[in-house]
Amino acid sequence: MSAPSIAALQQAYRSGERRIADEVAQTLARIEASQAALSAYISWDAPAALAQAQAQDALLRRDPAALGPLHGVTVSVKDNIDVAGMVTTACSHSQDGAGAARCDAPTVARLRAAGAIILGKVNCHEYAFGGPAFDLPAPPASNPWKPAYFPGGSSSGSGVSVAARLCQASLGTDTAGSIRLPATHCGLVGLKPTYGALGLGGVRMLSLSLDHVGPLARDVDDCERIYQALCAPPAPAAAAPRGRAWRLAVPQPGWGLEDLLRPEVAGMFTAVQAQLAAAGVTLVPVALPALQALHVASALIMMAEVAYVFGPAVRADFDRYGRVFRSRALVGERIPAHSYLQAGQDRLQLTQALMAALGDVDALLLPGAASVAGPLAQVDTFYFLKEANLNAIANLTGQPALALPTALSADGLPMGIQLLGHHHQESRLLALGRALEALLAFGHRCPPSGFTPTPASE
Amino acid sequence: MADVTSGEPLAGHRLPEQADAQEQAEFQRGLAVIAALLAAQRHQAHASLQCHALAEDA
Repeated sequence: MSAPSIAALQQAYRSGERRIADEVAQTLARIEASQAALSAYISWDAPAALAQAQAQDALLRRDPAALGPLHGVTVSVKDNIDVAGMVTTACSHSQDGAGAARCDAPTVARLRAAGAIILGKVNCHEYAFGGPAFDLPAPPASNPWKPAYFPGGSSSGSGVSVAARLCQASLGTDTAGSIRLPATHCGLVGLKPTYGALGLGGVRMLSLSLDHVGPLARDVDDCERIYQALCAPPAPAAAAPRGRAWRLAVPQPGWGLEDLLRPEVAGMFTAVQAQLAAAGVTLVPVALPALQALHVASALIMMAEVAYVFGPAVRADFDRYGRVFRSRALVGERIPAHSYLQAGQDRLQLTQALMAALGDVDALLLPGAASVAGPLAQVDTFYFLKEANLNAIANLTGQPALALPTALSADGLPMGIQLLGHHHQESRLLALGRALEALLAFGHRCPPSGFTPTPASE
Repeated sequence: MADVTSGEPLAGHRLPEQADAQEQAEFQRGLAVIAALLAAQRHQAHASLQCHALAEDA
C-alpha cells in the first residue's frame, strides 16, 4: 500500500485534482476510526483543521501560485511541545487541569507559517521519558504494523500517526533516540538535527544538553521539506557528491555490535551493507570510541539532568506521576556532581574521537535499533540503562542523525538503519539518505491496517 | 562489554513513602544500575590515566 508524498499532494491541490479540505476530512475520519486501537492522538481540533483547509482551498482557487512550501500538509505534534489553544499534557497526570498553551512553540509557528495544518497533539511517554506505561492519561500508542506491539518511543504517537496515515508528518523530540526509534519501529524516516540547530522554546525540557526537536515523515523528501520549514533561514540543499561514491563508516568488528544486536537485526544490517557495497557505496571500517564509554557518559548525563529538572517536582507531587517516570526521574539524584562533570569532560573527548574517526566519510552507518519491536507490556523500568543505546550516541555527540527504514522482519515489523552525519550538515545527510532510500527501496509502504482505506495514487 | 547490572546499591536513598514495596524494590534495582555506571566511569578514568602516564613515559 502506498501513501502520497507532500510533492504529489501539492501537485494534486495545485491542479485542482484534489481539495485540501477533502484530504483533511479523510484524515480526521481515520483518526476517529483508529483511536481505540492505536491511541495515536491525545487531542485534536477537527473544526480548526477543516476551517484552515477550506481557507487554503479558497486561497488556491484565487491564486494557484500562492502555494506555500507546506500548504495543505497535515502535521501532528508530540504532546510535550506547545500548540496555541491546546493543552500540553506531556501525557502526565501532573498536567491535569492545566490551561491551554497561549502560543505556538517557535518550531510549530514555523510550520504554520509555511502552510502546515496542525491537526493535534500526539501520544508520547510521560515527559518523553516514562513509558510505555499504563497508568498515564492515555494508554500507550500501538504499532500500526502489528497492533499491541511497541511503536518505539518516546515520540510514539508521532511514529504511529505518520505510519497509519493520520497525518502527513509529525514533530517529535529526541533525547536518546526518541525520534529515530519510533521511525525505525514504524517504517519511517526520522531526523534528529544537530544539537542547537532548532530551538527548544515551547518544548518541555527533559535533559537540557541532550534534548532535540525534529521531524518524522514517510520518506526523505517529505522529511527534508518539513526540516527546511523548521529552519530559519532554510538550510542550503545539498547534491550527491560529485566525482566519487558515497562513503560510509561502519564500526570495526569487536566494537560491540556483535553482542548488542538481536539476530534478525544483525542479519538485516549485514544484508544492507552488502546491498550498499554492491551498489557502489564505499564502506570504511573505522575504530570508534568504546561503545561502553559512550554509553556510560550518555546515561550519566541524561539521568543527572533529568533528576535536576524533575526531582523536586516529583518528590513534592509524587502521586501525580506514573510509576515508571517517577523512579526514572529520581534515581539520578544519586549521581554526584563530580561524576556529572566527569561525564561532560568524557563527552567532549568522545565526540572529538568519534568525529576524527569518521574523517571525510559522509556518515557513520548503524542499525536504527538493536531489536525488532516487541509486544506492548509493562517494561523493566531501567532496561535502557543496562545496555548501550545506539541512538543515544548522536545525542551525546550532538551530530545529526537520520533514521531510514530498510526491511520488514519475519513478523512483518519494520527494521531500519541510522546515519550519523557531520555537525550542521543536515543537507548532506538528507542527500545521502535520499540516495540510500532509492538503493534500499523500502519506499512508501504503509502498514496493512484498516485505517488506511484508500491506496493513493502518486 | 562490562555488565552494568552488577553494581552495589547506593544505600539510604528511597522513594517517598507513598511508593509500595514493589516500587521501592524496583527503585533499588535502578540505584544498583546507577552505581554500576559510576563504577564503570571510575574504571574508565583509571584506565585513561594509566594510558596518559604510559604516553608521558614514552
